[in-house]
Amino acid sequence: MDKDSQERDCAICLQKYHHPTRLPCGHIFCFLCVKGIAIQSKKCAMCRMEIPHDYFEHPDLIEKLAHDEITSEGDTEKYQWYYEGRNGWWKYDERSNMDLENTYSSGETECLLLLAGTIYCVDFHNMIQIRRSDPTKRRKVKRDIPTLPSKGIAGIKNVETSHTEVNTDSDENTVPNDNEETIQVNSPNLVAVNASTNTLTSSLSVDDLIDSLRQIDLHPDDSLSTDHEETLNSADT
Amino acid sequence: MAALPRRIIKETQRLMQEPVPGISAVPSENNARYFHVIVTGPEDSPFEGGLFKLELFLPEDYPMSAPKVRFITKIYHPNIDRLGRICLDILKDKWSPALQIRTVLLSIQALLSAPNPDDPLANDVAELWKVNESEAIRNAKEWTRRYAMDN
Repeated sequence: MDKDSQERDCAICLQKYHHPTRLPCGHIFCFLCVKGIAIQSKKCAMCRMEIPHDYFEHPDLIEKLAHDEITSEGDTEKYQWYYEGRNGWWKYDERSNMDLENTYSSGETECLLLLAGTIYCVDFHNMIQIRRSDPTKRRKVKRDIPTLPSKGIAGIKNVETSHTEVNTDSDENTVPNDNEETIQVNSPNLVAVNASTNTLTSSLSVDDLIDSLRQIDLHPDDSLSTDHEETLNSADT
Repeated sequence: MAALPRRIIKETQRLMQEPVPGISAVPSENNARYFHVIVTGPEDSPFEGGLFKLELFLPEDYPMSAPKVRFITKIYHPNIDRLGRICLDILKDKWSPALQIRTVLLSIQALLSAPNPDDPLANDVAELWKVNESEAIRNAKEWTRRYAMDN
């Protein structure tokens, strides 16, 4: 491992910069890595300078996402994985896409992803992404051709041909707070399932959890539904 | 079962390929997030000549949160308590995801060279370190000989 290649790596994920983003202090990290620190310490990982709370409204992306990049993976042999946002679908970043595709192709039933410092489980059966630490946070996912219209990649908005600004509106996916993963859970059944298993998650493996999610009775008892109220409320704030 | 983040794989590989002098960190066979660590006592410190065992665990959201590190070998030090817990800012509020296993262990080794009795975790040790440093150092050497040397 030569020194040069180490210096070109992001100090957080220790891999080549992936959608490099510059903080006001001048330090550069991957976009998703910055999202991770913005959720946790809110400080630059190198110099501890505060990250402005509105940083993600105008992130300083070093390579702007060209419209090309989003549609030009034109290879029809390839598949792209998408997750659902409030009003459209986002592409997963290239690394996660590769993980998803490889895991899916190998016949596994689920894939764990580390996104912005948080672990998610993508369930290929139900085609949903579930946050490990809070299974009420869910999104639909899909596997499709790479050329479908999308909002962008992993929270980085597509650049319309006429502007250079990225993330000009405050879309839920670009804001690094808890809201971003708050998905509208449409089915009351799903809500009930989450409520009754929440308390079990810490001691269960994902496999067990998925199993119990599938088997669980859909009538939450009172104490657990209170717990669930709180979860929803905190997600809504 | 859980895929290991690439960062952890990379750190582990580097620890093996370019080990830090005086520090060894080897992942457990059945849990790649759990490391068996040995730190040598720094020269010119009361811990010189000792081999100190520690355990290090990378939590699920590592590197967004700090590794959990604990001394297993008994040590007489004002910032390490009898359960081996370590009072070190980078393991708490001063953690940064740009720190790594190797930098954490180097900081712990540096803490052995520079005990800080004004920010104590082991109160009795810190007290003695302040009022009678030479006796405290004698105790530290004695504990090192008794618990951190094989013979």
